[in-house]
Amino acid sequence: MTTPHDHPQRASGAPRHHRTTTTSPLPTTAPTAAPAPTSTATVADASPGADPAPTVLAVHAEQLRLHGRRGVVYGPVDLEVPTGTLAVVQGPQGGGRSSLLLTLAGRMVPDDGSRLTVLGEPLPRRRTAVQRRAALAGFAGIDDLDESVSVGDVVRERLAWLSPWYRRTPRVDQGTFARLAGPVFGERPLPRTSTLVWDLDEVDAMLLRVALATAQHPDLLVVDDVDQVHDSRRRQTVWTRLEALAAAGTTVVASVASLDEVARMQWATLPQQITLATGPHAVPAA
Amino acid sequence: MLSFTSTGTELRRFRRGLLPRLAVGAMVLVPLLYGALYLWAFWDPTGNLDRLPVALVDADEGSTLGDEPLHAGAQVTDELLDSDDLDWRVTDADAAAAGVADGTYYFAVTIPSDFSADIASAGGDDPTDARIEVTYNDANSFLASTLGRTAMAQVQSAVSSSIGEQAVDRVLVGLGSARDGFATAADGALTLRAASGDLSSGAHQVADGAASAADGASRLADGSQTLAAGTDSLAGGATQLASGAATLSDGAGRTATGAASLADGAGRLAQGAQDAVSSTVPLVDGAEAVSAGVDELAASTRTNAAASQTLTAALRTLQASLTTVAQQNAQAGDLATAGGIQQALTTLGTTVEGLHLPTAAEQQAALGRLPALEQGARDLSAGAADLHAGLGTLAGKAGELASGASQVADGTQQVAAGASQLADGAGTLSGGATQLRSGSHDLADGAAELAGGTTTLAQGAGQVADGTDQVGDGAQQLADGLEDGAAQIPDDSDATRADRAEVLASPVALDSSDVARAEGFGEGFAPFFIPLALFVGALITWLLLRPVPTRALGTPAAGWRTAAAGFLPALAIGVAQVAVMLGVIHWGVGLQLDTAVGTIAFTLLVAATFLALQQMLMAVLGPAAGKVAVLALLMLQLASSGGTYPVETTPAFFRAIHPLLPMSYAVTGLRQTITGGADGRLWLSVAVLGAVLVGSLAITSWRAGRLRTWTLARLHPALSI
Repeated sequence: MTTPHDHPQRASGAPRHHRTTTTSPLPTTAPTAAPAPTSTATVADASPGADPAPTVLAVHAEQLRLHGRRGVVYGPVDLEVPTGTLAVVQGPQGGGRSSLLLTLAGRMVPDDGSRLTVLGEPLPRRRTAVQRRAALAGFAGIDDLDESVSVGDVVRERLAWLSPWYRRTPRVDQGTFARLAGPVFGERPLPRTSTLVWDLDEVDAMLLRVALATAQHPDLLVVDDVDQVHDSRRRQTVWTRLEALAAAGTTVVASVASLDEVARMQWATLPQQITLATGPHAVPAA
Repeated sequence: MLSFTSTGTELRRFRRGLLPRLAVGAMVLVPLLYGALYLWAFWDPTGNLDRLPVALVDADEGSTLGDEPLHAGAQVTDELLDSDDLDWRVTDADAAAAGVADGTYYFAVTIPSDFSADIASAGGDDPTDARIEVTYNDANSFLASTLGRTAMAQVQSAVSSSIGEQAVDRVLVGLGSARDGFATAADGALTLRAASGDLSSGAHQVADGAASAADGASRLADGSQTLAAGTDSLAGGATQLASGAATLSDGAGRTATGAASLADGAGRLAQGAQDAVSSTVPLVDGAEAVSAGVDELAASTRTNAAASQTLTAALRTLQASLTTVAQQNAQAGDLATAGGIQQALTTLGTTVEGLHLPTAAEQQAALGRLPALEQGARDLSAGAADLHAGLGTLAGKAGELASGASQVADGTQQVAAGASQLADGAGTLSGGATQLRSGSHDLADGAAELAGGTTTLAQGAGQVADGTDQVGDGAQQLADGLEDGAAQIPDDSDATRADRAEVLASPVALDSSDVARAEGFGEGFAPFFIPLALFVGALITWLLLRPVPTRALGTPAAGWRTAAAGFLPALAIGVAQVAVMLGVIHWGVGLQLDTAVGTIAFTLLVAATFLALQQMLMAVLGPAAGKVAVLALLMLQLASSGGTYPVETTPAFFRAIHPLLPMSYAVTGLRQTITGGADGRLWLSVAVLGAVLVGSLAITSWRAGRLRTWTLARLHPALSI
């Protein structure tokens, strides 16, 4: 992911757009070759055909972009993520995926001129409200788990933070953990609460972080770097559980580095795919 | 456990594995290293100075004090060796110099050769300070030199006290003698006063006598003047005498001749007288006849006288009667008769007159001359007899005269000789009288001078008398003054004198009282090292713990909950730090706490404050810049907290920031809880630290709320520590 990528378009100053493609098993080609569309986002509705019901968008973004001192981080991006769906953000490492997800979760402020509404709340103005309703999982440096701590302690810590300060937070027994993590783990056997984090399987660790995020009963769940589950079969498990969560009503936006991830995984419903092809590290998919 | 007090998994992550446990141990023990280790090392440096090797050179050559030999150097050396203040090594000057140079000795103390002499000089004519020489070498150890200076100040004080006591004692002995002398002098002055009284009266007498003498001398002058005049006369007289005597000698010679002639004449006279005697016999007879005739004449004369008188009387009666008859006839008118009578009378009277009758007076005179005539006659008779006898006698006597004249001749011969001698003598006398005259003139002059001198003497004696009166007054004042002076010189017994010498030798003693007393360096530094250790401990804690747990930031938990989630685990570590450190300092190092509860509580407050402050800095500035800021703050606090040297001794910058930094208050408060004497400063410290604690937590909370929104910089930090 260290390929230099000096886009002539960018040099020419033409606005770049992420093309949000849906249902395409193929990786979106680099937009360099694509005829330059208008600046209006092309939002392909995930649901085929006519809408049986009015679609409620969990995320609506126009011209969403962020740049830092070192240049463009992501965007501009136009996207619409309907409620209760899974969206997969694809992009290279350092391509601004984490920043985009944090922005969607109200944890990062995009550039001025970006228009973003999440869960009906305009961002970044209503960040606090979105923070309350949007949960994070899988972010390196944010929700990392301390490895030498037991699952129960991790859960209890999260429950303590989420409960009113005056309320006691009892030790987390297996039953409490099961109620909390069951929807996330699904069929997968739950680890014991006494299990230490470092003993957890990559999948269990990832699912545990997702489970902790769901403890705040979010309407939007952003999951970063599903690739941290290195084994693709296990990653399939994660995707399946994320699909299930989305199906249960929680809008899920997950990021992955592999550009062909959507194509390689099996889906109950093909997820919305968002490819970040701009940004400092964006390279055309091979 | 209430939810907000949860420390989450922040501490639990250190439970497993060796290194995490060691990390916790490090967090807990680092303050111990800073606090207890330092305190232990510095616990009592001044108490262990007896291990500091110091060269001691006694070059004193001794002296004498009074009659006793004085070896003050040896005395001081013994005292120093006995005191065990330092590890004294008695050596010689060369070895000491070399040792100080090469670090064998930290410094060298030399008692110079004239030390005793200088001490003995205190009571002498040329008092000189006794000196002890100290040679430092800061290259050996600056602090050793500093400690040495302190120790030497004590040595100097002690030596001055004991040595000075001896010297002062000598002075006091002299002072006692002086007191006796003063008393004696006072007595003497009194005696002088009495004597001057006597002198005064004597002088007054002298004055009086001199005045008398002046009088006498004046008279003497007058007398000697007279004497001079007299001696002038004497000289003249003597000259005359001399010439007279010569004349006398001549005269006597002639007299002798004359006397010889006289003797001849007298012999002849005697012969003639013999002849006369025999010739006077008829004269005698005739004289007797004259006498008888005179007697008869006298008798007849007397009869005539009487008859004449009767006649005269009768004539007078007749005249009277005729006169009367004439008068009666005149009266009777018969003037012719009267004239006739009167005629008769006149004729009578002329008749009578013509008779020349002797008058009564002539008669009386004649009668009066009659006895003389008779007497003369008788005398003539007797004289003739006598003449006769006398001539007889004359004859005899003339004989005698002749022999006598002969003798006179002899005698005058001798007189002539004597007068000649007299003339010689008178010449001598004349010369002497001349000398006498000049002498008496000198005497007169001298007497005049004497008179003047004695006058002056009289005046002078008067002045002497006045002066001796003043001498008497002065002697009285002297006596009084000496008495006062003697009274003011302390009359000490030996014991009192020893006490006084002690006091004079070290007249000022420190009598210090302590409001609160630190046992030593250790206790003095503990209030500094404990906060320092806790600050470093907090830094270590925040190196290992997350000041703002990012996992909590990922949740919608309120900012203060996030801050608490970061703070409480660190506080737990801080409590452990305080417990371990105070425990080791108390039981291990031996620090005594004035108030254990207060110290523990205050130390906990300090630990909490430092943790919160550092948490706040890292929350606000970010982990990297925050840690740098914490280190900078640590340095600033080290320099300005006043934990080592009083902050007033530091430059203005540190004095300015002193009240702004929490460690200053931590040091102040701990001083009061450890050493004692808690007052308002403790409560001020508590208030300030509490305010910093609460303020820091509040800022952290606010910041944590903001941190829930990430920035690129935080997501991809440019710098991380």
